[in-house]
Amino acid sequence: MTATLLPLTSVLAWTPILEPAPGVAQWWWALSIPMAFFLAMAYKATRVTDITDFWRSTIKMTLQILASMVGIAVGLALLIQVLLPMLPAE
Amino acid sequence: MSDTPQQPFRPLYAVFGWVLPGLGQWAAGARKRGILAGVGVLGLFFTGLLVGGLDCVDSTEDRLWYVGQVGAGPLVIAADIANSYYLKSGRAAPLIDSAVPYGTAMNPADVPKISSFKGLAHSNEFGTLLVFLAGLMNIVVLLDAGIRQRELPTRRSADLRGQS
Repeated sequence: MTATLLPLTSVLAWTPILEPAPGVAQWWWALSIPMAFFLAMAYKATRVTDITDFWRSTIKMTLQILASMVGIAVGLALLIQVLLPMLPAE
Repeated sequence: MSDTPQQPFRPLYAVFGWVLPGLGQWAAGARKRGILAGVGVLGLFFTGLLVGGLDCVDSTEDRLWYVGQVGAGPLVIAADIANSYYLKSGRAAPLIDSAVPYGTAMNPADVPKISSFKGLAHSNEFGTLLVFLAGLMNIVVLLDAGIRQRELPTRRSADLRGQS
């Protein structure tokens, strides 16, 4: 009970903008979603030739950024946890 | 290759774009693009401030980050001033002693004071990064505003309007 109430009390005590958001250490990875979305919005607003294609292009670019980040993370994890331990020690 | 002539760069629209993200496109006649670009840049900026607090914009402690962040316009300068006025002065939250570097002897009276609202670890890193990206993306947006032509309705958008 106390464990579930603690995050709630820290959110209620939070002063947005003045102080950092509480508990970011647990969900920092989720911030890559708004980051990719707003980046794609600003970029596609300057790049699409026909503005009616804007939302489709934005969502496509958001997914491309997120997929690339996940792909790089998986690739690096494989390199460090699988490939590098297979190298001879000397 | 496009057969439309390149619009000469107009610095005034780029300045508008720095004053408020998207205002350059709006002034150049591409209003919808201006709003969308502005929402994108300001979305990054305010998400950064929500995550990292005012401390993620700091012209003295994070100088290099600040140089990139200031591309997002006067809002960043205002956030830096608010950081000094509310946080560093202790008006918003009490000042506490910062940690003394390990292995150094220091008189307790000389230990620097920091705000108890100072961002640490992930919140500070992500907040600083998001505001920095807002600054960099706004440079892209304001350069586009300098060469943006007035938006004319395309055949496809006219068709879509006709269907609704």
